Amino acid sequence: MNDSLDIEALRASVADILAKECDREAVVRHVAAGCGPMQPLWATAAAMGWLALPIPPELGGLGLGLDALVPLYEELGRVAAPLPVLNTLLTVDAIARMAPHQTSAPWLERIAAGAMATLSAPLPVAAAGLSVTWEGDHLRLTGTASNLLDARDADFILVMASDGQGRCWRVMIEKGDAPVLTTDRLWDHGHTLSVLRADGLRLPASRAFASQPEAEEAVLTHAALGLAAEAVGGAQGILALTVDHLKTRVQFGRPIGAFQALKHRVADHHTRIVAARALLDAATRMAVRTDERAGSEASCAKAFACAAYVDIARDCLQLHGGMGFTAEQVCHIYLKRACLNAQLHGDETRHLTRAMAHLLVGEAI
Amino acid sequence: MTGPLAHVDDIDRFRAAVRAWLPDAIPKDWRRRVQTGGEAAYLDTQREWYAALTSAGLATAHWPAAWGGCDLPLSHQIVLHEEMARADAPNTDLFTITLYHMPATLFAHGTEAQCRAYLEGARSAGVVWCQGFSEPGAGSDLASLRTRAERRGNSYVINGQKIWSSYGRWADYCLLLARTNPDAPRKHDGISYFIVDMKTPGVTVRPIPQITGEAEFCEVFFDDVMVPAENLIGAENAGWQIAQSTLTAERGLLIFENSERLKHSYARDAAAGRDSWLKDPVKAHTFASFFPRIRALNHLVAALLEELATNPHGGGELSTYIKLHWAVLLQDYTGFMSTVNGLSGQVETRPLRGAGATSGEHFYDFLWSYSWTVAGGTNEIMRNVIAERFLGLPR
Repeated sequence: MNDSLDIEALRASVADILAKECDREAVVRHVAAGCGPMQPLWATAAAMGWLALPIPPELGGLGLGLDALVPLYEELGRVAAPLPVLNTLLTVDAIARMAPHQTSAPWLERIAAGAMATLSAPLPVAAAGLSVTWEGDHLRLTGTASNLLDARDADFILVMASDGQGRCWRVMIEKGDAPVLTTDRLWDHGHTLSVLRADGLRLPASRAFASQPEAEEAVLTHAALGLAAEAVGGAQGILALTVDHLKTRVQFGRPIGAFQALKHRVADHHTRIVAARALLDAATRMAVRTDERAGSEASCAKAFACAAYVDIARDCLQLHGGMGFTAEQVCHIYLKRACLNAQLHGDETRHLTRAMAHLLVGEAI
Repeated sequence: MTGPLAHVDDIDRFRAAVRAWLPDAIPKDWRRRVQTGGEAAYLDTQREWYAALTSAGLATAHWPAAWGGCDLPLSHQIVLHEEMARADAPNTDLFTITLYHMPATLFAHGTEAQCRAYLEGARSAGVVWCQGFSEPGAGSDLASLRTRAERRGNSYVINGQKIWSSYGRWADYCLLLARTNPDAPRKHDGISYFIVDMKTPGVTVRPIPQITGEAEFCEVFFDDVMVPAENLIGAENAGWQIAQSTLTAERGLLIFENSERLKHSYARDAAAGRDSWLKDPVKAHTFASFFPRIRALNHLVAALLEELATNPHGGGELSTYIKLHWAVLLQDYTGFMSTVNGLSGQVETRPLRGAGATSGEHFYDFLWSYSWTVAGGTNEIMRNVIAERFLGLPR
């Protein structure tokens, strides 16, 4: 989609639906009641075609690129939506880039129709805790895959496994395979975290496809942009409600937003968001045109935006005074999401290192 | 026409021509000369560089053809500044007002006679201009300025004091804001805009010793200074609006130049530290954390230039964020860089003017960074503006 008007229309329609189905009260209720994805909203997301955005048209999707996905992620972040959209679409990306067409087509069709997916982060091969062996037209998986976000509720789990000969494979595990999962609650009740244990789990050989470093890098770039977009949206979301609070909360006979000490803090936060957005927009454009520095720029955006989100959410909770400490108020959800996102798909150190790797070998910027 | 301006029709060829032209045009060994030769050497290199630019028509290429320029589009000015930063050319600091603010003011508000009297000298001879805006009692609250201009026959008589006039000591002319109507209901409406010849009797310039060891900023005293009425720019009492409309005359190019220089400085600093202090993980992490901030600056400035290309008077909100982001980043970065090599960073260095905000003399740059966090609206004023005007918080 090259027409910027269409993308803005998409953004507006996403924002409109989220305002109705994922307002502050709904999110607060959801995380108070349990943890994991918000189910009725997931069905809406599928029905509205959000999951089909990047899926090729011949498989029931719209075939759109990151310039369309980034606004979606940003809007989801703005309301701290408890939905695994990013990991589902990262799985789509990994499948589309690496799996043979005949294998990937049914997976993509099911995701377009609303199946939920998650994946082992596109991290270095050494991180694979699973090993894969082949037996004729089947494979066997042994070992553990940790840090699987929302795997408890997922229909597809795309793990990483090594074959003992230095090669890395992606293996798709489906819900029907009855994988053994141990699931932890997270402080952020919008998501869960699982460890998958396999002891010779037998699957059709067609579930495996070779992991390709360049494709994994591209998925990591997608992850970085997605989390940066969620961070920009989330920081804007919590700052907007904090600015409203400063305008309406009266103490000492005036709105507390008239106090310069508070004003200056939110001015700094807003400036930081403007900077994060500039970085995100530029990095997205670079990824869309597959610029050779797209990975570096996306990691810049991830590191900068996620750190900004954490700092802004921390301070916004403080600016809400005692209200910010209550579970009925939404600030804590943003704070917990910000802290989670900062660790997802590589922390700040990892992304800073990736961002500036080219400088440390003496290249120009 | 020869040189880069012969290739304005094709921006890639223009870039190539600028790149080819620069190595011989840049004053040889200018960094060493400035640092060892002091102020005189600084002025020499600035004038040599200006002359080189002028001989290729580049100094004033952005001016209208009618006044000796060639209407160089903003896109080409960006290329020119990119290439100059890349080649580590000196900047044209001394001529900032000469090249941007004075001509922008005269093109929009000057009379034909004023344009004739001042533009050609600026273009071909590098006549230096300064600004007389701030006063000891009118800094952040500029509109409360008190320097008086009283009409007497065919002249105005100026009395008062200006401060922070960059290059005031070397300036031939001053763009002055003075109060012509102290009784105007709104203080902004009683201010007029003048051209003052700095050699006029009654003008006294006193350099202000700075924390950097230099004295670039000046106080300018006006003691019954007679200025011909024809030196009034625009209408009497319309000075505030005129000044506002030309404050952004450089159209983002100065901040662009600085953001480009910072980008190159960062790459140079990374290369220089690779086998030494960057092996320290704590320093490496801090250094790395500047990279996204610098990239964000580069992209913010690119967005500003894009906006200004379509709307020359736009970009106000964005430039406020950029000013704050840049000033804080510059101060943090230069402050950090002054510490990476331990005590040696504390050894005093000679001034290195003309190299922009990141000359590479880190502590010197760090001290200079206060000119960005204070001048042109302090960080605190920027935050007030952002909170009140853009976020709608109560005053």
